[in-house]
Amino acid sequence: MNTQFAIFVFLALATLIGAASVALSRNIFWSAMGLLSCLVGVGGLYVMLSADFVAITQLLVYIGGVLVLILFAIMLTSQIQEISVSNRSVGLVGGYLIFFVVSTLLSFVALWAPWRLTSKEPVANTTVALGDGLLGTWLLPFEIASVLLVATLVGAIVIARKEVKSDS
Amino acid sequence: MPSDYIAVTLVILVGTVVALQFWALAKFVGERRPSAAKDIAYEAGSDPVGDPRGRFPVRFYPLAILFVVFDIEAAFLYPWAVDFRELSCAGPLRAGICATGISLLGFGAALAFLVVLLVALVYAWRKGVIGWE
Repeated sequence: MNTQFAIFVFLALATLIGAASVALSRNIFWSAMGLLSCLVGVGGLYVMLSADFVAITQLLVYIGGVLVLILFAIMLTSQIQEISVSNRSVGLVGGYLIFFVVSTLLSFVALWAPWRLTSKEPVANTTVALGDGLLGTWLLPFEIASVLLVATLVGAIVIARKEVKSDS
Repeated sequence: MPSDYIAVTLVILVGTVVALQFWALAKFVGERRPSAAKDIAYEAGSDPVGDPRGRFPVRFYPLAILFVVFDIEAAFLYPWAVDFRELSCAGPLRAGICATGISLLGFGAALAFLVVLLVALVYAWRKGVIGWE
């Protein structure tokens, strides 16, 4: 129990400090590195909740894919030469307002929501259960997900092509 | 449950310690004789061209999206692959043996998923995302 609690505190701190540095860092590259710490921490929390497949997907898709995409986007940005002033923290007041509203809401939910405790054992191998669900009950959303991925790819190609043409 | 991850944690720990140990050995034990040739970015001997912080061509962006799309595809196919035997059996599996007939539902569903993404790959290919003239 105590080791588990210590690991939880470590992961929660990595998540929170990472998330804070995404918002507060003046250097957009360090923001991306903060996002890495945040995503790894969230992945660890998934492991602690016995969501093994979600944790691996977090590692594979968010850390291996989305974070790489964000780093690409940073390096494709035109003003990357002035890397130290790339985040001027505009809209500080609005940012703090959103922060206080959302954090108050989340605290209320965490403290007063009727969390149901179950005595059931957690699912040992969530991947099989997920495969059953994805190709059984939720077959249509599974197929629609592929259409969504195609739309993403086509959209990215169309936007990037337009950019290349207007450049030349 | 969390005890299943002891092996994973050990691998992460050993990996980190080994990496740090090599870095520390090189830093504190190794001898250093710096020279101008060693200080250039590529020790292979070729002179660097341009600024590494320069703007990258936007053509890399569809390539990155292509990677993320097929990354997500792999994540979706993983539970399908793990569950493939059960999905391919028309009835329930008994001790790993399918007594009833074969069902093509599991195979067909994943095939439809893959074909839709294949269309995207063909589109990207024809738009010249993969090639580089």
